[in-house]
Amino acid sequence: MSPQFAAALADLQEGSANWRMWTRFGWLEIRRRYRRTLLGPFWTSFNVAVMVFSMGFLWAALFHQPTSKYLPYLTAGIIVWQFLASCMNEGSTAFSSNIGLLTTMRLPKTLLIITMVWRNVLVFFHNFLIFLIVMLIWGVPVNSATPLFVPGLLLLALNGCWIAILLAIVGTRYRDVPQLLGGLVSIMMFLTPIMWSRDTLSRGLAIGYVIDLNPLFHLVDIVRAPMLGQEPELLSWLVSIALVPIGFGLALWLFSRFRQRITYWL
Amino acid sequence: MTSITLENVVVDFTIYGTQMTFRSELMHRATGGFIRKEQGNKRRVTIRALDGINLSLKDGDRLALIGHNGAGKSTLLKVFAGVYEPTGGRVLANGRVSALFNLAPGWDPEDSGYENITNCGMFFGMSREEIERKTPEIAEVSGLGSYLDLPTRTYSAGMTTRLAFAIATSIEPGILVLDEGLSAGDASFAEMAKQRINALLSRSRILILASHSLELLQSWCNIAILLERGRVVCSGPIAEVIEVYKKEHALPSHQVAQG
Repeated sequence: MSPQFAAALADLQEGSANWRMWTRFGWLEIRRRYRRTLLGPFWTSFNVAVMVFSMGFLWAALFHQPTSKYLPYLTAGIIVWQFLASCMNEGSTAFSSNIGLLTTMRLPKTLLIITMVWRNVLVFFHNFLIFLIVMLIWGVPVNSATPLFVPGLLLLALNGCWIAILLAIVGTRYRDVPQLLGGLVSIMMFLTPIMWSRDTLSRGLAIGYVIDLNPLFHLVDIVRAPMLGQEPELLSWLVSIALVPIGFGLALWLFSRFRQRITYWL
Repeated sequence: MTSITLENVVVDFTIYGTQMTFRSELMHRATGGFIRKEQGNKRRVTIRALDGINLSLKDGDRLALIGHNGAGKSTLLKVFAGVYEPTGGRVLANGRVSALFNLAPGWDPEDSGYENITNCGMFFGMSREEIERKTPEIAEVSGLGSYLDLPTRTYSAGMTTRLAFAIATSIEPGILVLDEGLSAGDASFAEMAKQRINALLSRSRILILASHSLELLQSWCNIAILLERGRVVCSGPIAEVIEVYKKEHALPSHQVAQG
């Protein structure tokens, strides 16, 4: 193991071990954003609710779907997608938005990444409240598949970490990346089955296999399916699990190469 | 045994401006091969801020960094602090390095004084127990009393400085890195501030201080290095280095005073 790689690994270790810091500052950042607002962090949940209840009915009609099926599906999908999208968008500015800290003190850089991911886990749970309401209204089943939600979310968050590390490095060096990503992430949402389901699209068409190639679909589905009381496909588990070592390998390789340069790029 | 050693430390800054965006980099790549290399050399502007610095500090050393603006003082401080990792050579630190470039890291104006004590304490690397133990003392030094329960955005600038100062001077550094001393705010606080600083300095095993004030350097430090264009041109006991510095750069203030 090269000394650079060891240093990158040590950074990740030091950052993740300091849970007192990332739990505190993850939560403080949420509080800071919504300070002195009426709904506080529930503003994001409110916005999800507005979107789901307005567009949901329209799209259900457009896609010829029963609302009792479509609305829970859409709500779960949007909440999970928001988490993934934030990991990408906020990940790409995780270093550049903390310039004041990174240029004045030695900090494990991954601490900033983990804080961001943790913050979005908390946002996810605020949004989850909307899904609970949807569950009650349309009677989403709670069954033996429901607890799979826990390992699903854990896997999703782990994948969010390496995605954010990767994008944070690139986004610090090339300031165009966060801008580019803003648009790209919303396109990815349309291309991933969030608003539409794979079943309605494929119906035996070859395009169904193309969707299987989209890793984002698998990452979303390992959390969404259990939320809806369904078991995720084995393929989704396999892809999501396999992405952890592959993604972290890639992220750590890039991190080990450029970790020392990051402060100079700020 | 606290110590910090710099071995042949080099710091090169690459200047990234508008020309180094994604677009130009892509086009850069597209031009390919031999032209790219030539263009690359022309485009990339690097500045050598530190050039082959060798230093070894041990317990009890109080090092002053002397030099004109742009000589590399701040960069060297940041190398000591671990903010910048050198582009060449290496730094070997034995002991906890604390830099006070930012007196209040993690400070949030919306948080109360007490919450900010915890915020900053954590960034200074204190444990929860350490913070709890020190909070009464910090509260007393800040002199803010029940204001500490209010959001710090309601504080005056002077109150904010006092609290930040009280927190920053409560740390237990092995190696303390300072830029231009510490500001303590209003004059009524000066005596207390002086005591706090002296206590902090005596707690630190090693001090590294950069300043333009020769008086400050002389009162806090025992050894010094003179930096010029990123190189150490002179090192030794502080009085000698200051002599060299004064001789080489006949200080304008002296000339004015003599004239």
